[in-house]
Amino acid sequence: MNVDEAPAPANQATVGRAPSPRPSVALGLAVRRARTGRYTLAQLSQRSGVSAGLLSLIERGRGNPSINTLGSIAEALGVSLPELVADAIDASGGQDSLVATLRSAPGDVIKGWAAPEAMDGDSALSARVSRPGLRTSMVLQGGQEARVRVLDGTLELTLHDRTAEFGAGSSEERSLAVDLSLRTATGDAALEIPPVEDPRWLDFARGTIAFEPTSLACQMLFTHVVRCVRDDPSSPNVERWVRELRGFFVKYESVSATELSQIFG
Amino acid sequence: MLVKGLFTVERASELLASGAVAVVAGTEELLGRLPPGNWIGGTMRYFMTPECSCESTDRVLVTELPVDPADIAIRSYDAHELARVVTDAPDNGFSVVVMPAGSPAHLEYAARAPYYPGLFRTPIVGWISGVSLGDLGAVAPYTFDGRTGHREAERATVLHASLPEGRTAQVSITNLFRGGPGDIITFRDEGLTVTDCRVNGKLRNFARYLVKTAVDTRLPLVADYAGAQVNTSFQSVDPAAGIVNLYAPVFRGIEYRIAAPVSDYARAFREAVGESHSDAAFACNCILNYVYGALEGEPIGHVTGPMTFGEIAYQLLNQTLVCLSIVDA
Repeated sequence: MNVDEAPAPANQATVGRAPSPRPSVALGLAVRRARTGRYTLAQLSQRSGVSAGLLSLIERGRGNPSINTLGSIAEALGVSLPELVADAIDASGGQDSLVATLRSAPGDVIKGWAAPEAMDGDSALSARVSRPGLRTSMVLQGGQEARVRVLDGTLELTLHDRTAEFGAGSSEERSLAVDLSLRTATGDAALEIPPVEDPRWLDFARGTIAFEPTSLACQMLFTHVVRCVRDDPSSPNVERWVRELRGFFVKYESVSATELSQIFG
Repeated sequence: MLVKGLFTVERASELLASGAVAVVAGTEELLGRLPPGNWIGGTMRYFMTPECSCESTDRVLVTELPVDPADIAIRSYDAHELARVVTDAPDNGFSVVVMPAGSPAHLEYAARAPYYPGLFRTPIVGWISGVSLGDLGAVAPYTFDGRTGHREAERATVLHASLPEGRTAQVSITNLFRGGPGDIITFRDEGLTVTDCRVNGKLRNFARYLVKTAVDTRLPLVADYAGAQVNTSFQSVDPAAGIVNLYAPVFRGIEYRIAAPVSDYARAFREAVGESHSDAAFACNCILNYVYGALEGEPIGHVTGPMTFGEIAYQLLNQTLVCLSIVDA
């Protein structure tokens, strides 16, 4: 099943330009302004009881927080909810986004032209984005789950076979769904995770980029990577750890906006 | 309402027989009396509860996990298979690992876990099971697979739990210790047994350095992991043989300092923990904090879990409170 900017049945694919999310972006900016210089995302998460991932999404205008969640955030920031919202009303900015959603029922096969390549134990496929829209090259079968992102005009697909994890599993586990968010190059949301060949990964792995991780996992990983790369700067070892770093940020992209901006600007 | 606390075997059995997913700590005799169910366990008799820290041989500590029984897998791993804990873990979820103190699994995980591909993108918590401090070396610690009742002295028992979309696992630590103002210590060799080190760049025998400088070895070595303070505790120091045994490994390329003293562990924990971890899905602390901090009978905050022979937050830690939280993604 290929998709190319064409409307499609709800259970297969949809592509289109999303409404401008100005209210959510303004709210995110308001939260970020109130937090910056006072708390890291992790600290605000601990104070508010809201996950760092959701906070990151909210700050980037991509979350959809409940009133209760916003109230918790406001309280943790030491402001009232009306104050936070009032600040958001004054905020400016926005982002255009293209949203593509592709879904397939169990048993469906989506065929394309890319070949799998090994990446951290998962299967990976590459596909090209020809223009604002979507053309996929995924080869997926029922029982696989794909996570997708846009990388400088290239789709990176990480395939993960969930059927083997917990036995037969439920029908829901075997279902297949791919959600694509194609974002235009405006605002914070434009920052994508570069491929392992990007030389900034090497600088990062060597510890030459000022970096302040916001989660325990990232603190531990970063420390081990830097010491291991310094201990053995051979190309295979460096590449192994760069892949480890990148794999971390691919999985936790939604909670890593702060870290990624430190590394890649 | 999830069950969390100290219970008689009878009360714990009712809960586990109902199908609850849980991690259980208690003596070997008590764990052996529990019914089959969706639980894993390990031998331990020292606990922390919001009321106080205590030793108990007539109750078990139950931590019911906020997951559906259909979403868990309980597996056993020997030392050579342990890297699979990471690859077997669900993409969105968490894993609780319990290993017997001194077992091949414990020693392997201590030394090699940071090198497992994908470790730090897999929420893993857990603990090292132990025995009565009076029975050290005489009685074996165990882990239990609740589904079969099988007990293990050599292998790790792991509960993998998958979380629904929209929920995610977060691992955090509370460490009372900070590196003191003293020497910077580095190690050429990694592991739980150390001979030489470098003190401010100068090669020294570590055991003799510790004795000569009268280091209080109840205080751990502390390393700064990009803002996270990570402890390595002393097990024994033998200046004659020139050997120091540790409860967690030191790593090459990491700078360590002896921790600054903490005058009142219980108060420091209460101030650090407060009620912030009252909704933790899982927590554990260290038997060394229990002993060195004279925590018996002392409340240390709204947190419940075993006082263990080693804590796991991704890698093996010492003298650290570990918490797992399940939050909105």
